[in-house]
Amino acid sequence: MLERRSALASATPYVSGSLSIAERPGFSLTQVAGVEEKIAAVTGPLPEKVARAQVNGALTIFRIGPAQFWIVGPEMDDTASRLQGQCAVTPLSNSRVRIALEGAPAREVLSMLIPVDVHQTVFTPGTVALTGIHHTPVTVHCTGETAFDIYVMRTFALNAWEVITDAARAFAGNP
Amino acid sequence: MMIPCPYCGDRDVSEFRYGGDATKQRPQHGTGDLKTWHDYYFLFDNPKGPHTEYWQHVLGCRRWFKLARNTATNEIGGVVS
Repeated sequence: MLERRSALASATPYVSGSLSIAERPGFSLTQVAGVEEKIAAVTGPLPEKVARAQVNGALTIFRIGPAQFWIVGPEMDDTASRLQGQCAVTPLSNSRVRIALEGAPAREVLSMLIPVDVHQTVFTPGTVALTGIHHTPVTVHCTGETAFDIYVMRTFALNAWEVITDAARAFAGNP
Repeated sequence: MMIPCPYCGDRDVSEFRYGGDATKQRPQHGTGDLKTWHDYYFLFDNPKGPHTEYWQHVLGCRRWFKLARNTATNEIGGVVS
């Protein structure tokens, strides 16, 4: 039996004051592309714009282009199998690592990493940005006022982790 | 410089890749004249002023699109359909 191993197995969770950075495993990720009505019949409503996430029960859906979506669900999820034959389905669960960045200085840390306006009046909870950290593509999802999920390619995960924790050290000692 | 991605909205130029002159017309398939192909592949104008270019949102939605940009001022004229 193959055992799933984290790409961040060697990384130590970072905690300083209220700021924490930790891998958030336990999710499934499926990329789908096709006729939106067929996809929506299985997943529920789809986000109209790239910038907003749509939450349908246990599923969180990101639009990543025209008629192309990411579906984030629980680790054991049958959405991908229910979509088979309805659209192009690409399982990505093993290709991405989810890093949770949380705490009061989280926006300041993020602003050092991505070329996106992360001000609390612009990058509100539910906002999504397809962008890059250290020249590698990442998807950033604002899950709360000071909480973000960062989806990183598995092969770049350790590098992204080091860059993120490096930026966080500027706020070490902050409450 | 901010570039208006047709799918992601206004984003920083560092997320994009320049893809070349979008005004060049590829020779028809079957064109046998080597000079035509030579000129298409190797000769480029270097316009100063309004220009239409290919750009890819490589760190975002990865889509290609045509963009109007003034090469002298970097003023963005918007996405060209």
